[in-house]
Amino acid sequence: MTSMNFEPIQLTRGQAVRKWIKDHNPPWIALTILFLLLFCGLFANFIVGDPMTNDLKARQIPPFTDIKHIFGTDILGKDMTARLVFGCRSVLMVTAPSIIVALLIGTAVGLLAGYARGWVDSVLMRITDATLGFPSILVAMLIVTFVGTGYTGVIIAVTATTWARFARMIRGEVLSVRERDFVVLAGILGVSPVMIMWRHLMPNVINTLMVMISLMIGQVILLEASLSFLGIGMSPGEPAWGIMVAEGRQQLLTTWWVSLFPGILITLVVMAFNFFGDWLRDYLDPRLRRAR
Amino acid sequence: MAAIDNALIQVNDLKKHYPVTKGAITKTLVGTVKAIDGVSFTINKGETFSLVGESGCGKTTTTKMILMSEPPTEGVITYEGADMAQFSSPARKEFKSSVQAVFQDPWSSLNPKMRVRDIIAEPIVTHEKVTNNEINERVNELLGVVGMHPFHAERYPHEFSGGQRQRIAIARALSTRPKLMVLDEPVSALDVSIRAQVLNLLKELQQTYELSYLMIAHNLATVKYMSHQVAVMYLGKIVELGDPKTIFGDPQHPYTKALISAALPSHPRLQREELVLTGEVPSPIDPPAGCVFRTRCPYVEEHQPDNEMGLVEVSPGHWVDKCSVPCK
Amino acid sequence: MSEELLLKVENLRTHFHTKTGIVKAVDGIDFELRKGETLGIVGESGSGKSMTAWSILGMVPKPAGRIESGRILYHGEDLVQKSDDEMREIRGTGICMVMQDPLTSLNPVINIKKQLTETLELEYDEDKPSLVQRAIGLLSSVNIPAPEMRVTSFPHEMSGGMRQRVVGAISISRSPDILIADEPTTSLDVTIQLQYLKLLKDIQEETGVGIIFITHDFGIVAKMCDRVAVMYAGNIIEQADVVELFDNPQHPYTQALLKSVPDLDDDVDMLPTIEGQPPDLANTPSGCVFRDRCPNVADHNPDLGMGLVEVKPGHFVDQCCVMR
Repeated sequence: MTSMNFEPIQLTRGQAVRKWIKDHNPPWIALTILFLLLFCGLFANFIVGDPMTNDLKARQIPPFTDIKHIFGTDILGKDMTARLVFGCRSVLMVTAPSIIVALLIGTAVGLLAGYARGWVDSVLMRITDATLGFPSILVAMLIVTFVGTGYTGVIIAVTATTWARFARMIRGEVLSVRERDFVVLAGILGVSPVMIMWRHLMPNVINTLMVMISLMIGQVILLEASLSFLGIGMSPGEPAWGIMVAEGRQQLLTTWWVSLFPGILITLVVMAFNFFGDWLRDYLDPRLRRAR
Repeated sequence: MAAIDNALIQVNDLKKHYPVTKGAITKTLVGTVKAIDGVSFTINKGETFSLVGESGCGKTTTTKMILMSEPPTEGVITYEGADMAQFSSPARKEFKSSVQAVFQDPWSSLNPKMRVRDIIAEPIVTHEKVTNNEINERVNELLGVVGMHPFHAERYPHEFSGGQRQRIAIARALSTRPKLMVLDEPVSALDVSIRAQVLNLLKELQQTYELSYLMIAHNLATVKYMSHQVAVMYLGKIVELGDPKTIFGDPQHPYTKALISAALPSHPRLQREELVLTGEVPSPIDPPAGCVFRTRCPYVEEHQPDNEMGLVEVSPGHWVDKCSVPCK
Repeated sequence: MSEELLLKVENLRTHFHTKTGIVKAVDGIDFELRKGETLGIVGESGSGKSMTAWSILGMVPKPAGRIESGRILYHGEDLVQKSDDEMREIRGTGICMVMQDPLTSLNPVINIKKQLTETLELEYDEDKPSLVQRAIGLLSSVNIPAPEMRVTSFPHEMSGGMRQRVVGAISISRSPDILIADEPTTSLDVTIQLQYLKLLKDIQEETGVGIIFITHDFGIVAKMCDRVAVMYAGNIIEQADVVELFDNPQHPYTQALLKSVPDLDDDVDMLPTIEGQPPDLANTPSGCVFRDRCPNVADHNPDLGMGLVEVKPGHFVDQCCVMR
């Protein structure tokens, strides 16, 4: 009879971790940026002072000149450093719920449409296509008109435009996975459709989902920033990078730092998510590794 | 046909037609794909019944009918004497656990995200209420039966070779103690030296558990090695049916003869007389009237292709379509 | 065999340098191909047979893979030493390959006429209409019915068998000396396979092209080949004329492989099998690569390195089972 003649070599924890790092080459810079984002977002109040207090005596101080305000102050004297760091928190507070809700809705729709086919698929996809057909900014503006600006408005607006992307992507994956023999066999076996979606389809689309999440976070951040920039997102004065860029717009040549620094941070964070998403996609790709 | 008492599955004048429509909103019928067009046979308990034929002959569709993946257009299939179309819900569920399948591609048959234990146990948990301990016991027993070890249960499919994955697929199929297994090219995707291992395993299992197999295979030697009955199909019809010794030793239908002559020799000196068919395989959309083989048959002049097709018993247990049976 | 020598492979080693070790895909093989002859290279997956073909064509995937040593002599020149440009010239005019999947061998968005004329214009400096005529001629030479109509079809409009014939037509369009066929009939129906194999034989009779047939199927070997080389784990373990190989296989692997294939003309209750599995090519056993699975290893000399020994004129077997 056949015998398995390989025994896995036992590595110590440390050796295993080092080997994994060497084999998979994680994107250090991106990971550092993301870690800093998370850290600042979670512990903002312990790191910096109050981002909301105006200090009219300390208005428009340029960066790197005053030890108390390393990144300068804005038009009304609010400390830039504090605002930038608290901006991380806004990012987390807006993107996290939006992405989570969007992916829950999108995955459910995609799974159902992809597996059920027929009229269920047609109806769901028409709704999805309609949502995708509108430019996200427009839809967001429309929603914000009804719900109002501010935190909740932004989250609803962002979720409403993002779920459709997930739905489309997941449906595509499901269409191909459902043809694989093991799904067909489960159907023959009499496994219920819900079980098939849960046990067979979901785990095999999760990889795509994870990659999509990392890439969509960048989009969501940009969308929020754009909404804030247009004045229909967070309220002015809030420490959100989009707002900050907008505020500095009028006096770009004189108080350039008010717009530049938040702009740089937006760029860095979005790029970090994109690099991470790319790395994740390669990491999870069964053809490049032996299998996941 | 064969003794009714021993019959597990009886197929009677089975037809499956797929309409071909044009237009997205107002669908107009432009043709019909007659995937199977009047097929009858019996699968006996503990025996292997093989379907042989080339692409488009309808063998895959026949298995779909037997597996109840799709309903037939016409005709009756009985399981242990009962008409499958009339199954009540519990009868249908019981049927699903009694009939299992093993497919050709060992890389696509197993969910890469599931452990081997869960893969093998899935049929059990779908149909029975069992405790975790019972599941483990049965999974380990099944792994032993297919020549693998209990410690394989913790692993994932990608850690195994093609032959081993096929064994896992067989273990899964055995898990609900089925009476019939549908084997669709079970060894074609495996390495030559592994094929014998898996075929022998299937033979042993058949003897131990009185399993019936409905097998599709294109390799005639494999069919001969495994089968008790063989049906040769062409364009949705059976053109010849009998036991392998007779079919391969004394083929009557020209298509059977062509298939055998196209089979590769087992020794360079044993070259077969070549019967090369003219033309391409016609499409199953609106096949020729009368004998479906008439467009490629080298003896069509001597036959009666205008008559409707139907099997005639030329010797006990050996049936041939009447078109090629010379009229006396 | 006094026909002209087309190809001589000497001690070819193609290794892949991967993170988990050196994979010895091809590890020291020798063979020859003569004009009008068909050589069969038989082996299972991982035996190195396909990589042998890629090595000859100079298409070993870089940078991990490279030809470590050995010579491939073609028209007196060593192909291993040739540059990429020189190999490109040789592929197509001198040595051609047909592969298993005709769907991926043909460009799905270009019609057949264009694909054929593309190749033909490299050979014939003529205007468009006359190239199209040549294309039609080629199609009829591979027995495609109504070639004037077929020539404007797209690959997906044709059956598998026809596609393989078109690929065949493209390969022989520039009259190569050597045709390497890598399992070209695996996806074809049995009767179509017969047509295709006959076609190859006819082409060989007409043009004297040498064919290297890579397969796992001894039936194809019995039908098509003049000489056979059996590969296992990157080595040729036996090589002989086809009749001699089937009548007197010497190596246990060859013997077991021949016996484990079901036979249409014979009756047997249980097929004999080979224990175990092929070795990991990054971790081949030292000495005889077959030692872990060989039922007769006790009588053999597995510690000798691999190497063929001539046991009868033209019949070579690895020295492990020969030297006692």
